[in-house]
Amino acid sequence: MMDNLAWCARLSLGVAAAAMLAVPAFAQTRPEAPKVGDPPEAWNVRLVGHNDLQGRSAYQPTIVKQGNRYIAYIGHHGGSKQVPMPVNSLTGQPELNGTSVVDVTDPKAPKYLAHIPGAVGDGEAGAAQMTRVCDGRSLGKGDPDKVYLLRTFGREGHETWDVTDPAKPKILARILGMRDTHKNFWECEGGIAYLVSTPQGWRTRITQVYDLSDPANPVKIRDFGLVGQQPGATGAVPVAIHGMVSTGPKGNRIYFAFGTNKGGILQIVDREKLLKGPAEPTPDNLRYPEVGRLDMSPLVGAHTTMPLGRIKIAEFAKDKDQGDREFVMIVNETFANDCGEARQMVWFVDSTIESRPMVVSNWTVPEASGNFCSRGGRFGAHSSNESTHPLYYQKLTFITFFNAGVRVLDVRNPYQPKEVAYFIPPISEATEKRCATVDGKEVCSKTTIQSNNAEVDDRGYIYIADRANTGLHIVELTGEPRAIVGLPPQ
Amino acid sequence: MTGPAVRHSGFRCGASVLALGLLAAPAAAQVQTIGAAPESKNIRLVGYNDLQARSAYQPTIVHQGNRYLAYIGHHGGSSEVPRPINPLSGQPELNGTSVVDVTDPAQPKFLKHIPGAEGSGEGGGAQMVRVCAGASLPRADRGKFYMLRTLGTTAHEIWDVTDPMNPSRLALIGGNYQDTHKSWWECDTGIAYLVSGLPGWRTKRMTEVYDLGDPAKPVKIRDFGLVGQEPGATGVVPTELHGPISLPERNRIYFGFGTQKGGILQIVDREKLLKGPKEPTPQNLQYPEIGRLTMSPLVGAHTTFPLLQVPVPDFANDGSSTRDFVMIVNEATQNECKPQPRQLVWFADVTVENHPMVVSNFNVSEASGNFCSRGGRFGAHSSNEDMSPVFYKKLAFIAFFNAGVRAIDVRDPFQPKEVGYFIPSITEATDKRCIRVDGQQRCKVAIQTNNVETDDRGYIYIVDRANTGLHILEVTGEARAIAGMPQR
Repeated sequence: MMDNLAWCARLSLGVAAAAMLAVPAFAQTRPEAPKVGDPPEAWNVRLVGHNDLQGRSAYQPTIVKQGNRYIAYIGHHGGSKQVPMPVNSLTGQPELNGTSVVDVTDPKAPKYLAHIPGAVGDGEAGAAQMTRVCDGRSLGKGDPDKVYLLRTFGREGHETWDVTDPAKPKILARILGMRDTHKNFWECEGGIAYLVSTPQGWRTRITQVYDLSDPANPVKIRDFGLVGQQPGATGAVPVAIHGMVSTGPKGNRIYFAFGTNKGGILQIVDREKLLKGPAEPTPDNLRYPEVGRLDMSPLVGAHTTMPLGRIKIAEFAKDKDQGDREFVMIVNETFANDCGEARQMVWFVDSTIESRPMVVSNWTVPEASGNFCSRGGRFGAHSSNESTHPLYYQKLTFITFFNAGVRVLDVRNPYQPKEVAYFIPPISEATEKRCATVDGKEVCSKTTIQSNNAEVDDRGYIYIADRANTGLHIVELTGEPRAIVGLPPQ
Repeated sequence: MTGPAVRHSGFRCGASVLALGLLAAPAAAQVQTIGAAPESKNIRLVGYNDLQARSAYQPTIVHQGNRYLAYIGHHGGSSEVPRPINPLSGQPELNGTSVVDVTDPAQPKFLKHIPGAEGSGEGGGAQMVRVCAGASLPRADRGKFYMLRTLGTTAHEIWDVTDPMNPSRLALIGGNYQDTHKSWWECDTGIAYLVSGLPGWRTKRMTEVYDLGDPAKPVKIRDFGLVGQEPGATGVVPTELHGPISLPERNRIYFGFGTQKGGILQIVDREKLLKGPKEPTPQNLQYPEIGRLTMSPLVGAHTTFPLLQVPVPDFANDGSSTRDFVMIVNEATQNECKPQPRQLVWFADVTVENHPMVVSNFNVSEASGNFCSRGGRFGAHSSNEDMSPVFYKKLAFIAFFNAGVRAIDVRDPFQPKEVGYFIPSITEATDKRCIRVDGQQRCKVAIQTNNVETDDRGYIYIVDRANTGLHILEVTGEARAIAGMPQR
């Protein structure tokens, strides 16, 4: 791998002799999985800082500029059977995994501020994996000087917290009476929240729309799902929702992702019609806000549906519409360890004609470039950054790929996405082995990094959270990708 | 190697490396000039025939006895030259079908021109041609060869071409159709899918299924189309058919609808189509459909070419590593890019047949040849359809109009890569292509590679819509290695 990197670096320097161009691709692969103490594997990315997150399995990092500080709120999966309650080093007490609050103002020296314990349960069954944070000023009805956290509480509920003082979070409200929570979305402008849950009576996991403009007083708006998921429906149940991304009142679109690792569906919804349409979950009322839908190959899912908005494609500049197209990026989630399922990857959808979205391209890490199917754990896509800050938006996107770390894609032409950088964090003593129950027996694969989710901030730092307890890595771009986004060279 | 080799190598370097690679490539010609060399990479010219300067559509290559013959369907002539001279007869003749002996590809011999129908461009000629050996057809004379062709827009014809110098017509189907187009003929069963526009149907292109097992006695099986196209239906008429490709051994037919917009790939159960109830009711039309891919309305589906059971190299260690694909080729129909979104090549994963999904695209970089400024059409049109092992599921050849023919490595359809191209030189015969600029006609002359076919020896036959003729090509270098052909 390093030889390939050096090769690219030399090319970038312009020493492009014909003989070098003849170097075969993928000539170099890593013969064996990295060990504790090995350096990270990286191309155009460097490590800035690290926090061990108390050895807790981490899902969603949400980065917030809060006053003059940058705070990372990191949602955790539940602990393991062996260690259900890791010790919180701040209190010395064993605590169920919940939410870590880390001051990342100085990304070289992140400071762990607080751990908010979550619900009982292992892995995705417990803790508080999802986090979203908004400030009161943009929400509308909250205290303009306060900052609020929305998080899942295990599978059974959602909570709002006052995190104005991130070292001393205070609970405000709890929304209970459901099961199977997941990847929520909260519009900071106006406070509408799309909570992923299975409410009483519904046939699978769907969306509960709430007005959280006053986070202390949640107001239910409606339940929403695919036709066939509603109470009383019959026949096959359409695939469960995973999450959604809203473009808010301005964009008036919500992109819903169904299917996670199989049976993927992208649903494009008119936000106004969803919020103001008739709320009763009849088939007609559920269909009413749908603008378009893409039923994917059943071999892949839809974990994240990230709108990329309108992009002018230089290649099509002389064609009709000057190549002005609209795109959604779909990220699948790999479930199985050791490549035991169809490859889950990244898809780019041309949604210019919203009623007929179509996949136009795909991206995956070449397996042979790191022998990833033999490294242990999961290999494949999981999630993308969701920040739409102009620094990276429509230029670079960051995809977590489990044991292949985080991958940086140039998406300026979504018909031809290209990798421009990657970072695979080193494993540590805390990195947990990956085990799964197969045919009633526990089967463990090798110990490896499991980059789970990633987010970026408006300074350009990238935050990677590890599912296998390796903690939070804060990294930054180097070299050519910095130039793509206009960051000064270092 | 030049820039594109870097661009398409498996390892992904950054954009500046790409830019560097592109800059290293020779600057592309703005317009073509007579006498200039062809532009090529990993493909070389073997032979040439001018096809009597007739606008050419479908080349069909047949191993006939100990000869290889190319049957080439022509569009109608232009309003200036509706009947080019046939030098063999000295007579002006309406464009029809050219028969060329290509046994020695370096010295193709024009054997015969069989005139077609009145009408300019797609309005006349005999653009489509398929040929089957009587030995493979179930009820034909085993010593004979048969040609199925369109006759302008109104009919289909079947000819005995056993002696290509003296073809004789055996049968005529239709005569009053709204249109005809890219038909398909199964040589092993004789079943033909004729693209026709039967009077009464709501679209000008649908499918007539015929048993041509005895080519002299066509037997109609049924009419077929999308629900809503049948006589008596109401509402919006679904996109018209362009053409089908059948795989009898897999019991599947892949229908392409839409040409340059509103593209649809329909996957059909062949048995159900042939043996199901024939009356064109909505239920009977729906019955044989297994799956359907409705594309972005911005692009069409000219050719739907199956690539089944492909072991995807990058998925070798995953589940579901062997996949079924259909390559969908759009047709660019407008000159000089601007009036139309780019028409390109798509690869659809049809492993789960009832939910086909596009997974990747292939396109020629416009900037690599300033193709939008060269004149004529730029964009995809059609692929080779021959499934001989020499190229099948390894290389696909795509006609790209003014960008010539492009050779794509399709061994991993998730990552199609260009490995060669050939843009023929223009000649005195090359016809102009015009657009209106500020109310005035403004014309340019450029190659318009229209259709392409390959033979089992590995020769590539490309024909020109703008009257430049037939170019016979072969792959060299890396492209030749991919096909497993010995290097020269």
